[in-house]
Amino acid sequence: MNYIPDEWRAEVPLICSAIERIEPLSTLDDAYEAGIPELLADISKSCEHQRIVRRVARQWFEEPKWFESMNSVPGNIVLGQARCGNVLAIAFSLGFNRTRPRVSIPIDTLMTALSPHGLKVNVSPLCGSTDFELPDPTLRVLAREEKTCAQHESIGLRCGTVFDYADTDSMVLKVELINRTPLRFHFDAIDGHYLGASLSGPADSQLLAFITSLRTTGTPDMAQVLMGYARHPSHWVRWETVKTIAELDTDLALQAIRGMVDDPHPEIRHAAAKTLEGA
Amino acid sequence: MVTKLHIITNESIELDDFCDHIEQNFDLSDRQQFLAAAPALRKLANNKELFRRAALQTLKAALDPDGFNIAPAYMILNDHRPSKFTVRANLWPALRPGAWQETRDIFSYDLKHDHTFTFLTANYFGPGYTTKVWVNPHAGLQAMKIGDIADLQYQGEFQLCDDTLLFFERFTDVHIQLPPVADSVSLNLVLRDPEETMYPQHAFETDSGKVVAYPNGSPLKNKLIFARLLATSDDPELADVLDWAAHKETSRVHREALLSAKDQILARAA
Repeated sequence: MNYIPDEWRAEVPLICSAIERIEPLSTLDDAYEAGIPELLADISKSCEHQRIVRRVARQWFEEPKWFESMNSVPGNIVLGQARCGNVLAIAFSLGFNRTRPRVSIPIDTLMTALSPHGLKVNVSPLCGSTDFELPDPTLRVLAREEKTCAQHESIGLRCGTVFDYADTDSMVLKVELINRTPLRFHFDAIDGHYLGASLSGPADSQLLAFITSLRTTGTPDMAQVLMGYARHPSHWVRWETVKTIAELDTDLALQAIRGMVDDPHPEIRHAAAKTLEGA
Repeated sequence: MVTKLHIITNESIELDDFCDHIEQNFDLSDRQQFLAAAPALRKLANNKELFRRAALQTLKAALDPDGFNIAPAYMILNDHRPSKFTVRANLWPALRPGAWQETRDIFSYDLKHDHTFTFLTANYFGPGYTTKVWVNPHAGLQAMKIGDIADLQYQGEFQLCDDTLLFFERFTDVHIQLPPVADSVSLNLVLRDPEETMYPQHAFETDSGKVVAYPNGSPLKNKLIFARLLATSDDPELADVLDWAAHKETSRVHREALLSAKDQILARAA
């Protein structure tokens, strides 16, 4: 999907071309192979992005409703989204808060510095098992390594990397690719020890928090409605939903678990079979 | 200063009766009248059907496979009738071992923050949460900048439980919410004020009064962050846009942020 209005397209041909070129890509390696860093550098040098930022700024300041309708920081100006889910955006990096937990990124990301002072990020390798399906409690994040790039240059970050922007605010052109981890890992900001995991999508995480809390706050008549969530696209949500149903209505939970022996995810099939063995 | 009220009653009230009672008898913009609404809120908190109905409605509404979209931190209970106040149920999940980490962020646990609205809260389900409270005696209707330091005075630790209601005043009362020992739900009576969207909520450094973030999505917060982001540009024409926006802006804080962004861009371009 191209978010650039038709009347703007003639002014930003390189950006429109980039939206088409990211369509078939899946991973960071694909992006390097397809010459995407060079294309992003061309956009940066052409200043096409400045035309977009000016137009968006004028539009947002003209109509206060834009700011009223935003739920969170307008950190991205999305330029286009490929059908597969890849995204091209102008993004802004803000200096990070050193006291908050550090979180791994769930998607392969390529960033090109648009600001004249370039881009500075801190990247930390993980130590421990990186089997993303099974969070490893001994996992920890190692010390920060600073990575910098000059204006028009790129930094690639693989999914699962823990990174944060350095203190300087910057503007970047960012490609997010569909290669992703199902979980994000959280680490203590100071000593890097593993705190736990969350789902890669914030909406799924919120849903999970709500459904989990119904184990104690819910009532049996919620179980039937929850059966609808046992078909959620995220296998974590499906399984946690069944655990909530089990707290509210055992018979219905058994029915849900029987349906999960054919679940698309192997861990769910395994867990369902094991549960039924013991039932 | 957070006000603690002790109210014990076994009486229960229906939501619409509660709303009628508040609308007809209380001007919530008056502090004393707001406090006088506490017994009615306690009676509403004894109505154990409220949460069940709201949770079922939320679950059904979000069951669209394309959406599955739920914001679980709170559910507004009186959105079926226009009102100057909001009644909402807030979930406070306990943190279980191995709990999903997002829980801490979604529910703002351990985050020292103020509020853009004044509210009265009663415990509805579970043991209730504990909160550490500070008072900001110089708070007013103003936005503090990131890095500003507020003179916060520690007021103590409070436990929301069945016979205790807490009254928080916007901007003046700052608190850290601690996860309850077991899942809990609270009921809030929130005064709706058009001015609340004009000012950002502030998050403070845990050990001080230093403003470190604007945690909620208020329009002013979005504008201030956007101005900061635009300041990273080196496009002189964008400086013209910022100058134009600053001259039509009515908020002093936002106007200053826009002009500061403009100056940074021009300095960089030069």
